[in-house]
Amino acid sequence: MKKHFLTAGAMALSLMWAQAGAQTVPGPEAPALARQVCVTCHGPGGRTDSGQFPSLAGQSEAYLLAQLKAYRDHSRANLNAQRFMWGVASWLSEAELQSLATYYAAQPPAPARAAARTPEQQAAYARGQALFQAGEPARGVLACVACHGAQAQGLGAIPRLAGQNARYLAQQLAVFKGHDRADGAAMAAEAGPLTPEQVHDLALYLQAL
Amino acid sequence: MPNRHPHALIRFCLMAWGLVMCALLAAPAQAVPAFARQTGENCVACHTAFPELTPFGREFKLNGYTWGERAAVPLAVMMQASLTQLAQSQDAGGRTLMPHEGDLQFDRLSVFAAGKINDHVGGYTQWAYNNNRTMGQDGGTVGHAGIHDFDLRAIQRLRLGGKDLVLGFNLNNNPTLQDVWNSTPVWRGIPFTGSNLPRPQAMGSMLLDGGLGQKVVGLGAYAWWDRQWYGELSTYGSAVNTWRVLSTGVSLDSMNRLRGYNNPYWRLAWNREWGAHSLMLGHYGMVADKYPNPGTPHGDTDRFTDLGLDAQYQVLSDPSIFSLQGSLGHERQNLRASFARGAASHPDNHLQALRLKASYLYERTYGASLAYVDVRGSRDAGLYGRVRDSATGAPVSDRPDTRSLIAELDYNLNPQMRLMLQYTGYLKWNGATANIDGRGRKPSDNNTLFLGLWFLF
Repeated sequence: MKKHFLTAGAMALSLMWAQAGAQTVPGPEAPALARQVCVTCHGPGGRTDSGQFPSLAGQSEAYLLAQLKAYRDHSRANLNAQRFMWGVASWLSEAELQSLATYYAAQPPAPARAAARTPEQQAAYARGQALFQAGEPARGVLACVACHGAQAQGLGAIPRLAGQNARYLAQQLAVFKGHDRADGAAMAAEAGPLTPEQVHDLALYLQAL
Repeated sequence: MPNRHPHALIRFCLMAWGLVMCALLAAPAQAVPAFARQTGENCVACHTAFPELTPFGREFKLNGYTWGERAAVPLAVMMQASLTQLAQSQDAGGRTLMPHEGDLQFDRLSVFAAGKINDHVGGYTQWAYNNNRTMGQDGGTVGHAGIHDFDLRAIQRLRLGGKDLVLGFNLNNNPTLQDVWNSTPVWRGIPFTGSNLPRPQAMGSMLLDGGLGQKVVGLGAYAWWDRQWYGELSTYGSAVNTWRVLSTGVSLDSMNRLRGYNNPYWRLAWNREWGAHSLMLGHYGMVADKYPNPGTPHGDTDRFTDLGLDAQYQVLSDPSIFSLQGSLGHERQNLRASFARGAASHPDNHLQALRLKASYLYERTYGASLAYVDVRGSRDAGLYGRVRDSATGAPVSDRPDTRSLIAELDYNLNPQMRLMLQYTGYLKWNGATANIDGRGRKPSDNNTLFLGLWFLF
């Protein structure tokens, strides 16, 4: 009898298999897609403390859509894009890309991260703030505020930077320097002259916004 | 024979070079096994260093391997080659305890069929040719071909209490093969792989620690709720008759046989992920009625009750990945059948095993691991007292206790190819800290140096 139970179970499994058939069932839409897949790296609601992956919550919709398309057509080609996003983006339809962008843009942004505490951090924060607001014209670095907004909130195809993890911001500045983002010609020019200390200061300031 | 070693090393290097060239010639981003081709993801999306899973990899497995597009040819190949050195490969009488010592060995060739069938069903199976399964009469080894893994899933995604729920059915041929954390028996990397050559083996091993692999069929149901709670209940029986395909290659004469198909396995785990961190605390267990004689599935049975506590902690960041795994297993052995036949001295025994491992991986390329394994159990002269002192005739030990430390260095040439150097040092062997074979052999004489190459495409 018990043997029959196992056999019956296996037959049920086979039946489910056969029933489902080989036809393509539409993939889950956002936010189900966001909850089931994107969440593993980008956190619940697109908010994460991971330094490896960005928070997406509150990001500009146009920017999110452009990046998803850039992953899909491989024009965004930095190492982590190839490792993690090329595959995922390849499964998604145009409508799914749009719905993900809309969903994450509507989520409340990650709260500002811990502000500078030690005197050294406070000094770095102040330097980062100055660089963000005024740039360094002598070395050809424009003020970030000019494009990213007074609160680094982003606009249109220009991304939000406020509250983003400092390690991710530093990683992306390195990516721009390496010309691994097709849409990054302007940023490559800005990131190029930045010293490692300036990258550190800027990222520290932005994550605390 | 020491004079063979330099040539073996040269051959090993040549083979390594050949495989490196194969890897370099393969397509760069897609030259990974079937699941990577299906999802378009790089290996590192699902694995820190294979087979250890990332949160994304765990989710992929629990979702029945159904993400991505079904591949036209869902096949993958794995090859393993190695060199093994024993600290002391001959006993006091000059008998060689391990064939092919210091020889380059092409250990194993595996073929995988793996992938989604549709958006609700997926799985994989591994078939392997093992070049060195047993020691042959001529002092060499005898190869063996057969099934290794089988894992078929059917899943449904639902909502419960406003949270996501994945419900799944699973059919497999090895309890814990279906698990997604690397602290349960099949997938724990403590260590995950080692020398394949027949050599002295410690006696203390729980039934769940490999005793049922490729010998059983299990059907179960699992629930994964809110990416936080995992619960599973499965039932196992011997993979014979209808299910014989799941034990292909295993001789019925040597197969551990269970009574009936109602031997339960269960699993409960709490999982939490935050930022770069993930933590799992879990419990697993099984109750199995096993016939004492592998070839004779009749009469009374022994009952094994295995209970385990396990934990895993991972920090996945760039460029460093750090992971800790630990498990504490306890097996209650009701050996009523073995005792009645005189094979055991006591009707009730127990065995327990503590395993701890810490790993560090830098830039997903350079890895180091340190592990500790401590197996101990109750005295039983019938089970463990067969080795006798050559001078006095007294049993050397009547305990299964074995303790070892394992250190491993890894170099991942790319996500599909790993070169590993592993050293296992024994502090205790089958209950003895000296004279483990009755002829003066020390536990440390079994210390093993293993140089392995692992290649998948």
